[in-house]
Amino acid sequence: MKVRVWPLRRAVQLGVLFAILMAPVLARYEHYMSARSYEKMEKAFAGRAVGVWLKAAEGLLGVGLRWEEGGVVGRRPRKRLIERARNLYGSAWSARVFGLSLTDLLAGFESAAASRGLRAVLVTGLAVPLLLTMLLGRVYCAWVCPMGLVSALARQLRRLLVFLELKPLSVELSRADKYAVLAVGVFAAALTGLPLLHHLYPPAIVGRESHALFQAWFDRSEAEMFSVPWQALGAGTLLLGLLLIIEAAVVPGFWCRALCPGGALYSLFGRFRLLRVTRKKAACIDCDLCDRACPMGLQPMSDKTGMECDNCLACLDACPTDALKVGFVKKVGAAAVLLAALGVSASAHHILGIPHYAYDKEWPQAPVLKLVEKVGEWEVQFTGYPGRPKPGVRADVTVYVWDPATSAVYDGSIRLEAAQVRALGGQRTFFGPEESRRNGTLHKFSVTYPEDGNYELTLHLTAGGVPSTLRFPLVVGDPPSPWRPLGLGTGAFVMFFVAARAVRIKRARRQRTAP
Amino acid sequence: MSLNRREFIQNAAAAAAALAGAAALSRPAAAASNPVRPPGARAEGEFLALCIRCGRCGDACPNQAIQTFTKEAGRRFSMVPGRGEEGTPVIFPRLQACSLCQSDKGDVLRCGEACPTGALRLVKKEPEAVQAQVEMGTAVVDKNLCFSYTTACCGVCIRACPFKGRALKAGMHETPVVDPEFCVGCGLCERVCVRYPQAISIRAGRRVTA
Repeated sequence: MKVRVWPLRRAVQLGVLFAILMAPVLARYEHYMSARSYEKMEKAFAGRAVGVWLKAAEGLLGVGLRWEEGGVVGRRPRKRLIERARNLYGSAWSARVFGLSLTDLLAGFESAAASRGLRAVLVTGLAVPLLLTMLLGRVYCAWVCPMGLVSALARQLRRLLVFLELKPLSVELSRADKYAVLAVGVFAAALTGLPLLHHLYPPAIVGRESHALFQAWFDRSEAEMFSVPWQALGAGTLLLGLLLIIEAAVVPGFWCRALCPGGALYSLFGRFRLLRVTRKKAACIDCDLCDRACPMGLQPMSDKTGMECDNCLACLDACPTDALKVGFVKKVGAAAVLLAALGVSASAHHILGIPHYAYDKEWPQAPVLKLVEKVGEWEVQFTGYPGRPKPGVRADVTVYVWDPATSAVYDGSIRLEAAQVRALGGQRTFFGPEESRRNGTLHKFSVTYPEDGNYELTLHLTAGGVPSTLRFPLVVGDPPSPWRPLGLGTGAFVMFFVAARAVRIKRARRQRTAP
Repeated sequence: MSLNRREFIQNAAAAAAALAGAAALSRPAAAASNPVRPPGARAEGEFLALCIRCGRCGDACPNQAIQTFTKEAGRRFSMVPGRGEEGTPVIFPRLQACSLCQSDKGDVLRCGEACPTGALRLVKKEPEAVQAQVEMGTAVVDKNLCFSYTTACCGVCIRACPFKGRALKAGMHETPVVDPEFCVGCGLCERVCVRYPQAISIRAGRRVTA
């Protein structure tokens, strides 16, 4: 029985993805622990998805720990858990794992190019990835990068398209293009002083988007809104989806092969790698299976792997005669580089009574909503209490208008109108226009919102003799996203289409074989 | 795999189109928004060049004050990420202020320790080092709003200040008086201010040094 490599590779990739998703959760777990409010949050998040993530974090951190602290058996070992939670920061783009700083080569190159300098901190973070790449080749691409999972998914989708007789296209892009992308990107970074390639690079996108998603998710959950805030995801997710569709329907595997700037960089450094796939000519039967299995489009059958090989070992799995082997070509050199990699340590450097009251419902939380608009010389500050009101409960709106240059306070009248924003730009006014209550320098209104949804509050004021109208957006409660029905509808349509087509194809095949 | 000239031009055009499309997708429209950066951040231009948007400082922050700057994150404060600012670390003191790692063990600020590129400097936790190297912004008091200046003694912000007596002094009736030379812009005063809109808030940027 031949031992396959791909299940191991898939497991490593999934493990890395899980760690990327877990990093922001561990950070939040540590925060709750050090704020001594974990028990409270556990109760508040019970039965919710965020609670499950927190529990997973604790389960992971608590492996092998005795539940004991300060001599009390059964008490959560708070200090040890906090200590352990600090062992993972960041993502596959740049991470700190057990005190070891690991930074993607592309990140290092871009940062150095954009700032036109190389700092010692960065060098220590690049050392281990650089040495490992020189030793093992592009293994980052095959074993770590989350794009590998997207590509694998695209390959399955492509099989589905073929089964449905939808005839996916097959365009070939040159593998040399990625070096052009890398050169253009690094040049642009050096020119503008702003890194550009991290917008395109899948490991950077996945890390950034997972951080943004979990931050928004926990922030909203603390205010008792538990739906997943998909709106926190940005253009990066869109780009990943686009890559998936293009890989499935037009150009299989094109990103890693032909366009990825990081892949180009790792290829350059992996050129003289010591871990290589070699072929026993006597055992090879020239069956071409390895060439077809190679996700990089290389030819192991004729020893044409060059510097692009990422040691994914798919060719070893495909080989029917075990003619392909993987191993270090220069044993002594490999041992020396490995020792150097191990020797490099990345840890090259090493409230006065402020209470953590943020999680107490009883504490009079000041609003976390402050919208600012300018009208002539006046600055209009719009705050709501609470920042995200609940429907059916009276909520305050406070407006403060002043001139920052002279500190003069606006003395005229302000009227407020509140309208619910409906689908397709429809609006329904349910409040005002109503004159404000004056409270010193402030203008106050009390509005009760009828239901969860998006609202628009309109202020009418006369600034400098000119009547002005200002519009402020406000979200009440936890409204469902307007994209939800569209997404569900599209998903249902695609499922129906796939199922109907599959049934038709099966039937046609049966008829063809029946007579 | 050999290519003729036509194929090469086609490929190069496809690569350029993909690059331009992705850049257009991710390019923010607004101008620089001048947000509050984590402590130890270098001058804004240099910071944006060095930062690789990895989120390690946010993971390291014990107070979870450092957020990823996205459109959604800034929505509540009329803050839109400007050109090249998407995904960078930012602090909204109103939401969660920088505690300067004071309740934390260790002798350096954790975000600077976590930063892989030096976009955030490594800052020791001693008051002198913090004073010298941290320039998140300056607190500004609006005397029209402040309770101590208008109606009654309050003094909440003075009690929250990590450099009380120096950065934030108490005047008569506990009126807050900011000394821009000592204020590092941590935002704890804005975080605790009980007035809304906040009578004391952080104006981001380099602090005024004498």
